[in-house]
Amino acid sequence: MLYSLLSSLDKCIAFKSVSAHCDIPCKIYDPSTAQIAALSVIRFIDLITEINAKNDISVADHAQLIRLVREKEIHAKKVKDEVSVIWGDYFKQPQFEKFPNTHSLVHNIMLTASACKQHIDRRKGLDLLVLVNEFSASFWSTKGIETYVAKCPYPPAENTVYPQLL
Amino acid sequence: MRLALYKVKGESMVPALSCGDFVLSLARASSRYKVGDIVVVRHHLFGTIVKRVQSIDSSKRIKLIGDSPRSTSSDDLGWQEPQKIIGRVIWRIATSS
Repeated sequence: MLYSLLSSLDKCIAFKSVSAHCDIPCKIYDPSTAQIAALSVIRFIDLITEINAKNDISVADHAQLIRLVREKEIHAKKVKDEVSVIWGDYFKQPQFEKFPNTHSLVHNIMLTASACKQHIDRRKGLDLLVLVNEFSASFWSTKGIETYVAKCPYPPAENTVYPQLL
Repeated sequence: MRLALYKVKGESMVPALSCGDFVLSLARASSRYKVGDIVVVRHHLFGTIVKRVQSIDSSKRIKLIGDSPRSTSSDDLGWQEPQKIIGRVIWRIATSS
């Protein structure tokens, strides 16, 4: 009876609601996709530079250049997408408290990834990888997982942060 | 306001609270909240929420948890400053009552 009375009142005056918040997060987050995308950006810049070094550029080279530039753009955008999902969905108050520089780090990643789209400067690709590696190290640290740095076993063979899972 | 009436939305506090229940909350001094209390909290990400106190640290910050396994996790909810607590739920008017 009391509930019916409150329900009737609720229809008229609309009591404030309080959320018993529920969600079903997949909890599958891994920065390795962003790191591989950043390594790919460097690799595409290297391949573009190889074409640039040629004296005579064939139609085939032009075609290859178009493909490389396109893939560089796609992978730089992928870095931004992958990092922003982890930053927006995984990182919450406890993670931000542990790594208070995360917002500025992510912003730098966004800016540097855009710079990689605009240029073919290898240093900008390396800058992007360094930032994404830092983000990766923070991410694994929030999960209590140690990391180590090793050269990736494929071109461009640059230092990459990996989780120590064993 | 020390006393406030809210309508519950969501299922994260099942079985203690169900979606559609009304709850009456009473504001208390931060030192009087204890583990196990159901509290209404102003959360910076999730708005005004109702959860159970899982733990309290030495600074009177509280960690929250939902009764349902489908609830947003305690880690995702994070530690809450005592001034974010609106009150303790002292009365439930259940949908089935």
